[in-house]
Parts: sequence; structure tokens; C-alpha cells
Amino acid sequence: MSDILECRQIVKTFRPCLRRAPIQVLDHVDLRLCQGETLGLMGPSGCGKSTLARILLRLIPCDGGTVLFQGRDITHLSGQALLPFRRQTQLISQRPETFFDPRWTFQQSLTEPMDIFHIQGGRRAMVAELLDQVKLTDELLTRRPHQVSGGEIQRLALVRALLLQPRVLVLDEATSMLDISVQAQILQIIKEVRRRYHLSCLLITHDREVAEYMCDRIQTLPAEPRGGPV
Amino acid sequence: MTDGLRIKDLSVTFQLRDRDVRAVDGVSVHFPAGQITGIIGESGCGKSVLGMAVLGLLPPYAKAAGSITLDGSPLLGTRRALGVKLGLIPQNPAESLNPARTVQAHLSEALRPLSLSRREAKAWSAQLLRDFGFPDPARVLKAYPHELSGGMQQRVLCAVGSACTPAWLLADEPTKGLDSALRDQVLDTLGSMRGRGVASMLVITHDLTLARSLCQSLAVMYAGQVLEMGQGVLEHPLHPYTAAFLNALPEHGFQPIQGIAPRAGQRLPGCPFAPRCPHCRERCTRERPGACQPESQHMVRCFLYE
Ligand SMILES: Nc1ncnc2c1ncn2[C@@H]1O[C@H](COP(=O)(O)OP(=O)(O)OP(=O)(O)O)[C@@H](O)[C@H]1O
Ligand code: SF4
Ligand SMILES: [Mg+2]
Repeated sequence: MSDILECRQIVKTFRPCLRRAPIQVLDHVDLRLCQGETLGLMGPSGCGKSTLARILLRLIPCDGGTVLFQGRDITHLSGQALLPFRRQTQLISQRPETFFDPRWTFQQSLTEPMDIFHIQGGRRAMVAELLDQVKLTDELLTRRPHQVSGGEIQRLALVRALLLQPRVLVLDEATSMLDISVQAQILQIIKEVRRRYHLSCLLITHDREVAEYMCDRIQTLPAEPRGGPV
Repeated sequence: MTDGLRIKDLSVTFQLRDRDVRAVDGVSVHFPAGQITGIIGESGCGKSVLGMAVLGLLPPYAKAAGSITLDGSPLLGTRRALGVKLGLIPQNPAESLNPARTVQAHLSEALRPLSLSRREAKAWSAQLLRDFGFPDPARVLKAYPHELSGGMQQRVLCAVGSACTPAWLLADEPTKGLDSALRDQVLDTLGSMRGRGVASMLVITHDLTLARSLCQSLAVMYAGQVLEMGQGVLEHPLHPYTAAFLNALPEHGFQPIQGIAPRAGQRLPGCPFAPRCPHCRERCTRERPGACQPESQHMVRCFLYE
């Protein structure tokens, strides 16, 4: 199997404030996501799972190491050169509400990324198909973020991501704030769309049972090398 | 008198600009003293609102009807018991501590009903923190909330909630979003509350592992109503909703409940679960099922058990 997304020897340090010593969160971490697989990323609270995911997605810079997408070094790409990569890798996070403008209807929020990436033609049909996939009705499109439940907004975030026809989906604790019945529903939907759209997934979770149920392989990050605060 | 917490025909309605949302809909339950009772159910089913009604913490635009008594004396609409007889561990540790105040300030405020001198309050605060697993209380007392990890904030809130040693404690989602190590820590903390004079507890949670290991009895809520309550709810659920809810657990293969969850405040004339229930009959859509007691210590509201 070929790798779709890979990182080598990633180093990341945060400086919380001037008075305190910097904290090294990631210490030469390697990760390989193969084409079509679902990789689980686990580890204790604060070990840097989300940081690593954001580095892989080129959302934040790293202090050392390389990120490769389909074998190509993208560590230092920026601006326009990153656009194709941005479209092909989508993030679903623990807080889906942050992906939506609170003043906009979901109709507006779903249209925006399609404008940015110049997706023309058949938009309506694509939205309708995806809403159907995640078991929502188009009645929701006229609503705004505060008018839907946690499970509904997470499914709308999934629709927003899938509209761009990504190759890679990164799910960062995407179901951990949801109750078990909504979690079960979202997990089933993710399983379905990942097969249907041939996605490779990186699934970050602290729930071993979820990881074992969803993933082909699990990688565990060690605890961060410092003691707790205070 | 230790009759416990009795709720009778409790309804809570939020009067919003465009419509009324009934978040709690005719709940009658008895939580016996000396037990840990869990309240489980899907997001939005009214668990927190029920808890806030008990504590007298509903917002002013909420209308509550019915009665709540603690050991015989009425509670509804008052905050008299808050902190003294009834402690609260709120849902969001990060949002429940004031970022501008130290841990000592939080504890001093919680201890106010005891009218202690400053020195006594300090000593008591330090002891509380020690009880909740801080080996070096002096440093923690001076800390601000952002200097504590999520698990530490949670333990500080436990100390704040139980500062006056209330006989009852209400914990709202004490483990939400925590990883397994922190979860175990919170579980230990809650367990140790009982050794500190807190005899009775209500724990709102959708963490069924926690419910199983901590609670002696469970109440299952759906659409603002308590559909089932008692011992052995997880081992042999009686209500079709509870059975469907438990199928979403990992050991049952994460099966979601069929059908669509009720909209906030939506009310049906019959059984609230009727639109999604595989056993639904005509009567279920017309009439509200009353409480049945097919087993001792186990109440259920469903026509299948009449
Ligand atoms: N202050 C409020 N104003 C208006 N409606 C409210 C308010 N608080 C809660 N509600 C509504 O009451 C219902 C029950 O809410 P509640 O917070 O009790 O749910 P819950 O069971 O605790 O859910 P969760 O598991 O997500 O915490 C929901 O429909 C909610 O939208
Ligand atoms: S009362 Fe009827 S609809 Fe309700 S749970 Fe029982 S069988 Fe199902
Ligand atoms: Mg709640």
C-alpha cells in the first residue's frame, strides 16, 4: 500500500509565556497514513495528538521534520501552492460549531467552500446526496448553528468536508462530546462514507473501544515529557 | 428525617420569544437518601434542567410547576439548600471557575455559610484540597484556574461543591471529554466523597461505564420524562428506549437508535418514544403510560408491563 500522508521526525515546541520554560510537545514523531486505511492515533491527555494532526494538515508550522502528501514534500509550501492540498485533506473536530459562522444559515456555510475551490455545476445534487448519506433533511439548511443539536451540527460538518471530495479525513475527537447514541450514529455514517468515497482516515480518540472498532491500525503517542502544570 | 429527595409532577418550561420549550415534562421520582443515583439519557433530554430545578438554579424565564422536597421540606423555587444541604459539581470545569480568582477565593466563598474566621477558612480549604488528592495545597490555593489541568480543575470543583459537607451532591457530567486516566481519577474522587460525609449523590452522565461502577440505581430520561428507574437498569433494561440506548454501547457494536430524536421541547400526547419504538401499538400514540413496577425497586413507564 502506498502512503497518502506521512510525516517524519516532527518536532514541536510551545512557549506558554515568557516566564516559563518552553514545552516540547512532539519529539521526533513519525507517522504514515496509507492509501485507504483508517489509522487510529491515541495517547494520554496533552500528549500532542491534535498538535500533530494540525501539523500534518499544515494548519500550524512545526519546528522540525517533514510532511509529505502523496510522496511530495509539502512542509514549506504556502499560499496558492497549498490550495490543492487543503481541498484534499479535511478536518472534523470536537467542536464543529467553530467551522460555521454563527450568523449564517447552513446553506450559506456549505456554499462558501465550494466558491473558494471553484466547484461549479451539480452543487444542489451533491448537497442533496450528502445530506442523504448523513441522514439529514434539507429542512436544516435554512437554520443557523444555534438551532441544531450537537449530533446534527457534527453531521453538517461532515457534509461540508465531503463536498470538497477530499482524499483524507482527519477526525479529531469527533464524537467524544456526543452521547453514546449519537456517537454510534456518527460512527456508522463515517464507516459508510469512507467506503463510498474511498477515504483515508486519521482518527484521533482517547476511547480505545472506538479506535478498535473503527481502525485498521493504531499508533500511540507517548505522554509529553514534562510534569503537569503547577 | 431522611426521606430523601422527592419530585412530584415536575414540569419546567422555558418561555422563549417565539415558543415555549418544555424541557422537563411531568417527572415524578423518589431519590432515596444514602445512595448514588445516576441520571442517563441522550443529549437534550432534560437531565441538566432537572438538576438545576432541584438546586433552584433555573434562569428567571423558566417556569417550574410541581413539587420538590428534601427530607420533607419544600425546595422548588428556593436556593436555601444550595451549598449547605445540596452541593453542585457543574458540567464544565473550565467554564465554572472564575478565571480571575484564585482557588482560595473560590473555596472561601463556598465556605461562607459556615461563617468561619479567615484562619479557619484557610485551614479548612487546605484540608479539603488534601482530601481531593492535592499533596501540596498551599501552592494550589494560590493558583488561578488556567494554571491547573482539566483533571485538577475538576477536583477543585469537587472540593468547592462539597466544602460545607452537604448531605447531597449533584454532579453534572463529571467525566465529559476527559481521557481514561482523568476519568478514573474523577471516579475515585466521587467515590471518596462518601467517606467525607456526603451520603447521597445524583450523577448526571452519559458515561455508562461510570454509571455502572458508581451508581446503585439509575433513572433513564427521554424527552423530559423519566421512563425507567431502579436497580439493574443496565443489566436488564425493561423500557424499549433503554434497550435501544444500550445497543449504542461498544459491546453491542455501536448500533444507533432507529428513527429521529425528538426536537427540543416537542410534546406528544402518548408515549414519547412511540415514533421510534418497535413495539408501538395504537394505544401508545394516544395515551401516556403510567408507572408500573414489574420488579421490586424497578419502575418503568411502558404499556408492555401493564
Ligand atoms: N436556558 C435555557 N433556555 C432555553 N432552553 C433551554 C435552556 N436550557 C436548556 N434548554 C432546553 O431544554 C432541553 C433540555 O436541556 P438539558 O440541558 O437539560 O439537556 P441534557 O439532558 O442535560 O443534555 P446534555 O447531555 O447535552 O447536557 C433542551 O431542549 C434544551 O435546548
Ligand atoms: S408505551 Fe408503547 S411506544 Fe412506548 S415504549 Fe412502551 S411499547 Fe413502546
Ligand atoms: Mg447536561
